[in-house]
Amino acid sequence: MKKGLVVVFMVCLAGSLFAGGQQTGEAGKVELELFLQKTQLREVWDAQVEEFNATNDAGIRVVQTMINPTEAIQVLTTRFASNDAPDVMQHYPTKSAFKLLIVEDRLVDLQNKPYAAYAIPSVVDDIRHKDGSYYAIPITMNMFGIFYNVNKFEEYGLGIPETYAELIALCKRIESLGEVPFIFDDKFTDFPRQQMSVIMALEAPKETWRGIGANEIDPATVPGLRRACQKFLEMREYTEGNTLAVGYEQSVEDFVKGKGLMVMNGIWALPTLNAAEPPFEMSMFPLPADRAEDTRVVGGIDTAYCVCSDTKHPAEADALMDFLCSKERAQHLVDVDGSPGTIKGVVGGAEEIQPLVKATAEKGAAGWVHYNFGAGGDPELERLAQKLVVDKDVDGYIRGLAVMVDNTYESLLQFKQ
Amino acid sequence: MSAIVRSNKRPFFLFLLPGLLIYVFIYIYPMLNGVFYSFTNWNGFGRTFSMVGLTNYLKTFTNMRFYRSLWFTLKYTFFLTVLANGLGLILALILNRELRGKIFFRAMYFFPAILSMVTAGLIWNEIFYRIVPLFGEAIGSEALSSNILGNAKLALYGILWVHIWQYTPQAFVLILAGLQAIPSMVTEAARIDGASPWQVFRYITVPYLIPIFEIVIVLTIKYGFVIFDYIIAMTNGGPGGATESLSVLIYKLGFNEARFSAGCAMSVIMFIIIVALSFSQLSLLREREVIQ
Repeated sequence: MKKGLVVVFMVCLAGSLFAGGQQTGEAGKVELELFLQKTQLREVWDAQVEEFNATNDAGIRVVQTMINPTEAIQVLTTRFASNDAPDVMQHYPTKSAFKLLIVEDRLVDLQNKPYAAYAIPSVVDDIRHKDGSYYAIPITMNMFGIFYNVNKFEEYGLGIPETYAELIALCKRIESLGEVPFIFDDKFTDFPRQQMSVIMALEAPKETWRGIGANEIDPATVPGLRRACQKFLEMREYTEGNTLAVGYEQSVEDFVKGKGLMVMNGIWALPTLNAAEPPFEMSMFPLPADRAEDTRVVGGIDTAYCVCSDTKHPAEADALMDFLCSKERAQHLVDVDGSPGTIKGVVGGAEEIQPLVKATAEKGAAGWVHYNFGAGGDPELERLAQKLVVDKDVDGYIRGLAVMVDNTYESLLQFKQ
Repeated sequence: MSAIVRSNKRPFFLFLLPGLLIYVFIYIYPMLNGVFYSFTNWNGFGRTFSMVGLTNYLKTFTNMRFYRSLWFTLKYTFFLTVLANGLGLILALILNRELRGKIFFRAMYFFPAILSMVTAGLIWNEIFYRIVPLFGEAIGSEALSSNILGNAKLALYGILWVHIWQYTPQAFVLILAGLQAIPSMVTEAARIDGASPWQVFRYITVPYLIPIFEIVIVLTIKYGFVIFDYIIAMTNGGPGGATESLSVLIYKLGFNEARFSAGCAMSVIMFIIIVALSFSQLSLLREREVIQ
């Protein structure tokens, strides 16, 4: 008897280890998970989810999962690996991790959904596949450019450069005035990768990458790649100290404190810059190409929503998508984010980024180069670009780029775009 | 007789069962799972995968990035083991004496150990960026005049410094406990017999401390080999991959580069290296241990 009790006790004790607090939805309601990875918009989504939960008459309760963007990819990998995908996600359709989800059939084709009509068709075309399918509804665009201190530019009578040569002349002039032209943050790999992706977008057309992947083009013979490296390194001559020592937050702080007159970044940095309360007016201009007529703002689709194919509640997921992609909610998001909207009728975008918006409207945008790489291409470009800052080995960089394109080409071919 | 012993052992076994189950599910099962996936081409996202035999292992052994990470990890582990434990021993020897305020010093030295690794990394990040360069300029050192975490040649030492700062107190506490367990009559007898302080240390203190060294050295080798948090917080493997340890490389392969199975193969290799190092170190120290 005693032995039996001991056994029962031990089994209960062992079993208790696996007892978790399983989350249950409100009675009779379908619970949907919305996965988000843009923490600076937390308040927007808090309000929108609260509104949806209070007003939807389909018996749906949405639960948010908000993960820091630097960790979101790791969390999503783990979730998909264990077949625990969320129902609806906010993601970035130009990232190679997103392409991988499409290749692995983890996302729902949205082309025939009623809410697909809300997005601006020309923007959707950027992520539309040859067979017409697309897997995300874009809400905002991102753009990369140069933030500058308007007050200092006016004080010194400095103009906006229209060519790359003018940009370098501007840097020399700023240096002669005893100021630091650029603040770059190379300590972490995001910035070197983004900057290199922008420079290469102006120097190497989309076809180059497919040609390299198919072994039709030798990257060592592409003059644009060498020129991109040259520009990448040359601009670093107009910074102060070791750029590899400066992190993102530190670069923002240094710019706001007036330690440099220009900082390169995407428009997503604007909320962080504004939060640091700069005591001067800011504006932006695009990175100029060698010829003024070739200059394009580099950017692409930023925030987008998608539906995971594992969802057990596709109709409810569609209802949530319809709500999130509506003009009112997209406008709400744009008003806070400051990025240009991609839903029909949404207006706005912050004052500081208007020069980029105007330039895009006039000439169109150039897409991010890393959009042309297969799965795993982005992180490898990060490593290579930062390594170029360290060793300035242009040949090594181009060789590494060729290997990366070769390694990721197979997954790019699977991607039907 | 043997039946009585068996029946007496059964409750002990049953009480061990929960811990055993946890160990199996949290350590053994994932490890075996990792070994299995190292023979596949799974990318971490797919529902399906194929068996590819030893391909991932062969690719690992021809990957220069793996060798660079392995070299970084070995170098890091060596410096950490020697410096953190050496410093811990020196501190323990000093604070094992009758000193005024030794309780205060013991508490103060232990303070860094209570911080999380990421917190310590972030604090030192700012110190290396804002304070150390001022000091470097003041003493005219070119190497220290810039953030050493941004220097491919010095970043290892920046991370190592923080790790030593935080780990030494743990080694210090363990070694101090070992010192206090040495029977005072043995050292007193040695002194009466005319042994010098060095001879007491060499022939009495060290042999008695060997069981403690076995623990702290195995722990340090393990901490060095799996170094991850500090690197993610301070350099993310940069600049240009200069501080990419094996753990960071495995993590990047699995979670950033969609090469999950390649990461698994590298993990298995790393596991074998740690086991080999730990066993050889244990057998080396056991030969010199004092049997009490």
